[in-house]
Amino acid sequence: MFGIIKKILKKIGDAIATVMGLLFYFLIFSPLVFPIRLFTDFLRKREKISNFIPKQKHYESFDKFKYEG
Amino acid sequence: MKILGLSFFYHDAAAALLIDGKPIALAEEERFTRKKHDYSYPKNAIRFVLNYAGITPQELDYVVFYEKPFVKLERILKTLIATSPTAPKVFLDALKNWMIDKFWIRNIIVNDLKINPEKVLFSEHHLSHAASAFLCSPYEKAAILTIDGVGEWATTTIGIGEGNRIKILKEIHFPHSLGLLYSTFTAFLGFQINEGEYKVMGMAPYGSPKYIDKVYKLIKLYSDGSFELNLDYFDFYRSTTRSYSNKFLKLFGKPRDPNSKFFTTTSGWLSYFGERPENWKELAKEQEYYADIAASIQKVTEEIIINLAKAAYRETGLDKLCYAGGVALNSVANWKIIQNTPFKEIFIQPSAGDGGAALGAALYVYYSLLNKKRDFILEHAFYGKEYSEKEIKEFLETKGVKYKYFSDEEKLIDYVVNSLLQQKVVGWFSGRFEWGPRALGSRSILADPRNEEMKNIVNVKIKFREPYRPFAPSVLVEKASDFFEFPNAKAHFPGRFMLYVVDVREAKRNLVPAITHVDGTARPQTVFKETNPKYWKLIKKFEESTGVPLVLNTSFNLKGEPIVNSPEDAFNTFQKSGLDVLVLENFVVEK
Repeated sequence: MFGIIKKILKKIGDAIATVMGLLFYFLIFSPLVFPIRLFTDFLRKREKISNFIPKQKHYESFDKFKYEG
Repeated sequence: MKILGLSFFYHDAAAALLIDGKPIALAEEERFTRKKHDYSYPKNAIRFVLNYAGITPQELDYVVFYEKPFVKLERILKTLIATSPTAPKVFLDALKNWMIDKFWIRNIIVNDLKINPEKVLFSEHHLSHAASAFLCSPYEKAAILTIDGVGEWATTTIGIGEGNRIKILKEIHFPHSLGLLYSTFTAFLGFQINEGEYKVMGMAPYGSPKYIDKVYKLIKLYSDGSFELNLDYFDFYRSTTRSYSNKFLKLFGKPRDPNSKFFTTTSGWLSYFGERPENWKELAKEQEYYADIAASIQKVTEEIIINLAKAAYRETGLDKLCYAGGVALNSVANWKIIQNTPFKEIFIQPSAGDGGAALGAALYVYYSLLNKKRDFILEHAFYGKEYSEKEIKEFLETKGVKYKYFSDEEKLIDYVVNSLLQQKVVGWFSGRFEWGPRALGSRSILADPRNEEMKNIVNVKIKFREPYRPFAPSVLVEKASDFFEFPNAKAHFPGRFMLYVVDVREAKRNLVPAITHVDGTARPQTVFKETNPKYWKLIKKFEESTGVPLVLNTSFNLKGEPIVNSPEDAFNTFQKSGLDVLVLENFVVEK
């Protein structure tokens, strides 16, 4: 019995989280980032002669290994 | 110094334990959970490696995670920005995955192992790959190439290794990914991504690369070896369920039905498919089209890899290459690097994909960060769990299974060779299981390579897998060049790990039809007496009886399952399949 109630509550929780997530995505996230997207699209259209990127961020030290980022 | 390397939450979860820079135990989680490509926190693999070494988690000096989760998050957020508002599902999935798991990697490790949080370190994905190849290679100085789907940002890197130092020089960033290009075709051809890539490779020789021009519409090559995907043809960066876009479908037509039977007009309708339908020729033509697509993407992949390898050579001027990442498991392409670039030798470790990055992360901390002198070469892959005779006997007796016991190894080998000669298929369980996706004589299914029909017997009755997939041979290293276009086989490390596809010598193809693929190639594993004496003796004995110094070797598992770990897994597979003989160390069970 308790298991069934737990399952139903989990489904309701998932549904609420999905709706909240979608509202956030369409009403806040997308309108905010749309101008950035246009800019990145513009950058992508520039003529290139290589798609190699010189390695910029180096993590080869003990201090850098301490962090997740 | 005890260091544990870990990879999880993406592809293949794994644990790698080093003591004073040498691997003590290495294992992928899937072997224990029996879930193929299990990417969950590798609790079982960790317990195994610690128990094997007889240490507690608190005795570990460091635990290293194989990548930087927050840099990966940055990539995901930036991709969401670039794709908004068209990717709500990706947004929701990312939100869920990160909130539940990926934000808390340090906590998950600390809570499980009860260690000081400061002992937990984070490597970088492609640096871990690079280290997994270079730091266990025999080379003092080498070029390094890593190619996979994606790490944090990088999908491809070129670097250099010298002594105990590794320097990544340049990279190609997501979404431009050779791994993801290949995966997109894997999905289009009706296979599961991260699992079916081998099947595309196996299907390719049945077709011809007629559609290279079309494939090149999807990808732009630069003269320096780099490449760029035309994102109009892909959905993988904005969808969680589909890799190719509608434009891709307009170019290549409808995807292959995953349930369709694969055969061609050359192979004909195969008897074990059942009754031949009237329109079988039409169906064959349809499948031939997909084989041509497989051949085309394989060919383009090879060309791109060769270009990248040449770029690595130009950048470093070194003629030895250390190569890693999931794409390094494309064994057809690997041998072409040797044939088409100035590189004279390549080192690839057996678990070249994400599982192997756990080993790389640990190696990097020990040798590079702690500045220790290198004194280790990965010469074999036998770092998994083994089972004692006592454990096997107990298992068989508890199950009430009748068995024969051989106290003399020579007699056991004679018995197994006789079984092979009688055209029986043998499940061979011996010693520690292998590190990586290949069965290399510890958990293998063995058969007589001289019998052409054996290919169908093992594919259809034993492994229940697609009939077109080839089988590999395990060959005595001393005799490899007699049967294969594989000169100086001893010097090529990837041969030990079944990572090269080479031509079978024309004069020998009729002798070993079961391991010769439709295009006359094979993927030999070179067996060394020093690193796998029992298996070497078995093949030697087979040679003495037949004149053929090789056996058919395929992984000991059923379709869709990981390779067996324990005697119980092996026995279950034996019972469910058409295997004739099961060898569990010195115990033999027959049907």
